[in-house]
This record gives sequence, C-alpha cells and structure tokens, in this order.
Amino acid sequence: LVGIAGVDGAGQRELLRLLAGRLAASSGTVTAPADVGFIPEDRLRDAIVPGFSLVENMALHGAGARRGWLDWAALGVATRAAINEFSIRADGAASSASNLSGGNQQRFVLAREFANAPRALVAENPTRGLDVRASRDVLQRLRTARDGGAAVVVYSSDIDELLSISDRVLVCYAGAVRELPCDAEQIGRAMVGAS
Amino acid sequence: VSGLRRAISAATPVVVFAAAITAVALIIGAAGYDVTEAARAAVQGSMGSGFAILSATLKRATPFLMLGLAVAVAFRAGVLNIGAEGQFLAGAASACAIGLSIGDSAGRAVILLEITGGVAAGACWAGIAAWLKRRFGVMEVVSTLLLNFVALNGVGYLIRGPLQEHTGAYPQSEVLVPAAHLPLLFRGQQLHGGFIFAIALAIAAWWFFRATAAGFRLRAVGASPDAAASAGLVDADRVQMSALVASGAIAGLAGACEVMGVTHALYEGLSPGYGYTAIAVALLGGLSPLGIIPSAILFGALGAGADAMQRDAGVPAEFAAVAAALVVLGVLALPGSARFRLVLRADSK
Repeated sequence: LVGIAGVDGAGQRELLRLLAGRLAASSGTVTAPADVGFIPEDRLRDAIVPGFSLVENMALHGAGARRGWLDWAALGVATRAAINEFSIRADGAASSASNLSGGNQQRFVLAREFANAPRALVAENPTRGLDVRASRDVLQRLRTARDGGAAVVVYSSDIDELLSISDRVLVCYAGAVRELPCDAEQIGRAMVGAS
Repeated sequence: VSGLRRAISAATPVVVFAAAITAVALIIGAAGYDVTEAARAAVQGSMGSGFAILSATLKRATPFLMLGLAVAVAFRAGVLNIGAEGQFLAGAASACAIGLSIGDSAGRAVILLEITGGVAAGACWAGIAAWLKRRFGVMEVVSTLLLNFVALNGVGYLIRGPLQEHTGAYPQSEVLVPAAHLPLLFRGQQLHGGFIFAIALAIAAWWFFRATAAGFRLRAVGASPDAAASAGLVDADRVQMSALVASGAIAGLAGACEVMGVTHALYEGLSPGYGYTAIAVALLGGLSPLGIIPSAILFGALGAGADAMQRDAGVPAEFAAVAAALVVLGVLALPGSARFRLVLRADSK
C-alpha cells in the first residue's frame, strides 16, 4: 500500500489520475493494469450521480466500454451484494444515492470499485468528510484490498492517516516524486521542498 | 412515500398545463373577448368530433411529438439544442428537394429516399453546431439558435430560387406528386403515417434510454458529465455531440414528415415555431419519451383549439403561444427542473 503525500498543486492529483487511467500522459508512458479502481476525492462530482439509483450508479462503472443491452437483473444482484458486503445503510438497490449519508455513499463507491476485484486501486483523500467510524471502515477496506493482492495507491492530506495506513510513502513536490521513510517530520519537510 | 411522490410527479405537468390555460383564459377575458365562446370553440375544434381529433389535434401533435423527442434526446445528454426549428426546416427542404427531383419515377420508394434525406439534412444541420463546439468551443445554445435563422433564410432562398414553382409567381416549391406523399391513416381524414412513425420513435427512444448501454451513457453524461467520465470512463464530449446530431436527425425526420404528410410543398411559413414549442412539449413531458406523447397531444389540441378559437370566436390564435410560454416558465419553476436550470447556468459560464 503506497501512500502519496504532497501539498495542493504539487502534482499528486495528476499522478493519481494518470495511474488510474483517468488522464492521458502528455509525454512518456504509464504501465498499469487495464482495470484500475478509482476513488476520487469529490465523490458527489466524480464518483456517483446523486439523482441516480444505486443500481444505476453501479452501472456507471465501465459504462464507457459497455456495448449492447444493459443487464439490469445482474446489476441489481451486484448492487444488493455490495450493500450487504459493505454494510451500506440503504432502502435497497433502487434507492437514490442522494438519500445515503456521506459515509454510506463512500462505502458504496468502494464497493463498486472493488466489485470486479481490480489488480490496482487508486484512492484520493478517501476519508474526506467522513466521521471517525466511517473513516476507520474505509481505511480497513483499503488494507483488506492490499491483503487480497491488489496494489493500492492512496493520497491523503492527513499525514498521520497516511502514515497509519501506508507501507511505503512517496512525496510529490514540484511535479517530481521521491520515496522517503515513513517519518512524519521528514515527509513534512519534503512536501514543502525544505529537504 | 415514493408512490405519493410518483403520483405528485405525474400530476404536476397536468396542473402546470391547466394553470397556463387558466391564465390565458383570464388574459382573453381581460382583453374583452367572450371567454365562454372562446372555450367552446377551442374544445369543439380540438376534440369535438372525429375530424377535430384526427385531422386537427393528432395531425398537429405529430411534429410536436417528433420535435419534443429531438429536444429530449439532446437535453437528456445535457446539450441545450435550441435549434430543432432549423433542423426541422433543413429536413423539410431536403425531403422536398428529393421528392421533387425524383417525382414518381421510383414509385413509392421515393418516400424512403425523402425520409433518408430529411434525417440526413437534420443531422448535418445539428452537426454544424456539434463541430463548432468541438473545434472552437462555441456554446451549442448560441450556435443552434442562430442556425435557425440561417435555415429560415435558406428556405426563403430555395423557394425563390432553385425550388420555386414553375410560374415563378409564388414563393413556394412545386407540389409533390402523390407517390411522394405519406399515406393517410384514415379515409377522409388528414392524419398521415408520420403519426405512426412518431409513436414508434417515442417507444424506441424510451427503450433506448432504459435498456441500452448507449442510452445509459447518454443519461449519465446528462446527469453528471464528470462522474460519467471519471467513474465510467465515458467520453462525455463525444456522447454529447452524438446526442446533438441524433437530435437533429429526429428533427429533420419531423420536417420531412410535415412536407410529405401535410403541406406537400415547401414554403416559408412551414413551421409556425414548432421547434420552439417543442421545448415546452419536451419539458412538460419530463423529457421522458413516453411522457412526451400526451404532452405533444395536449399541445396539438392547444394549437387546434387556438385555430378554432380564431375562426369561430374571433380570438387571436397567438394566445396559444402565450400558453406555451407559460408552460415553459411553469415547468422550469418546478423543483424537478433544477437539473435544467443547472445546465443553463453551467452553459452560461
């Protein structure tokens, strides 16, 4: 589980999107698995459609590549499985995503991105706006993904949280990345270019 | 609770329409006309007989239904196509030109060629706006609106130039040969085969949105282009441009059907603003293809009733346009329309 640290504007946002296949490289090449799960920072803008039902939000995953008919029955089964497995408090697969609390919305995003067991997962501030319990749950899910064999890359603006979860830490500064030991002081200095 | 919400949601368009009609009735009364006489004429002219229903209301509902669907396809993708009027005229001009040049030499196959030409012309007319947006970032709300005037003047040129009738006395084309007409659905009535196309198209559009991956992508992009792009890896720009071209194709079909089924010739007043009224039709139908069917029939009845009101009670038919405008304002004021207001705001940035 690789943690990414950096102050706003240091390039970590672009790095995460490049790894997740959400941004094309202007030069160079990115080698990553075909299906990378992505948990963006702003879930209401980039991860879910609040006015859609949960099953429709489940259908959003991979919508760009899907052809032909939609198998709503299979999507309904997958949505109900996600609700049960991730303990999402919802009235059912047909309930609107906007009716869920922030924590449950984030659990749903994780469940959807985990659904096809991706080989890699990229998460950007995954606990933003969540209460303590929901945050703990989300971080545990990321650890579980790592233990299951997935490569997990996490950015968090909370250094303590980042250190608590990461096996390795990379610091972004002025568009460049370097690996540092998991030490809050060193990382903090590197984030502002002081070392 | 969700059942109650659905019932309220279904009843809302009816309430909006009824409120608009009531407001117009009050205006008609305030203008010194006999409201009772006007209402009687309107009801009689729109649904008082089989002829009124088939040859007035449903005949008028046909372009509204197709154009309402055209508007809905674009709006559902978050594209503000205000150019259904121009795309309608492009489709009508193309179908008429094909019908006139082929005549009855191809038998009834000319109908297929006219329809193909109308669809292609509407798609190309909308395609100009799509290209302008993709290439130069021109907002489609501006380009599609302005292209309406280009189309209107283009039709004006055609009927005074290459397509003008042989005497050169009237600003209109020759009349299409009977083989190039859409067949009528009932003997002695004016309702033509375009109505069947329109209903079939509404059902196909409903199924497209509900059951196909492409329809879902279109809805997702319209609801949240960022989420569709990020979570679904959807090329939102491409989907929106495709929706605009498809919308133009449907509007072009409407124009072709109007020429082939109703006017049988091209002339300047072919569309009394059908493309603009279609925005009200689509919004009143909740942008749902099946909801647009009753909405189009209501607007067809409104137009037919307005004509009868003018003819039998001396009340200007322009009051129907006031009712259509009030419907748009009423629908936009509803909480469920927040999405369209957001689209409008986002587009104006």
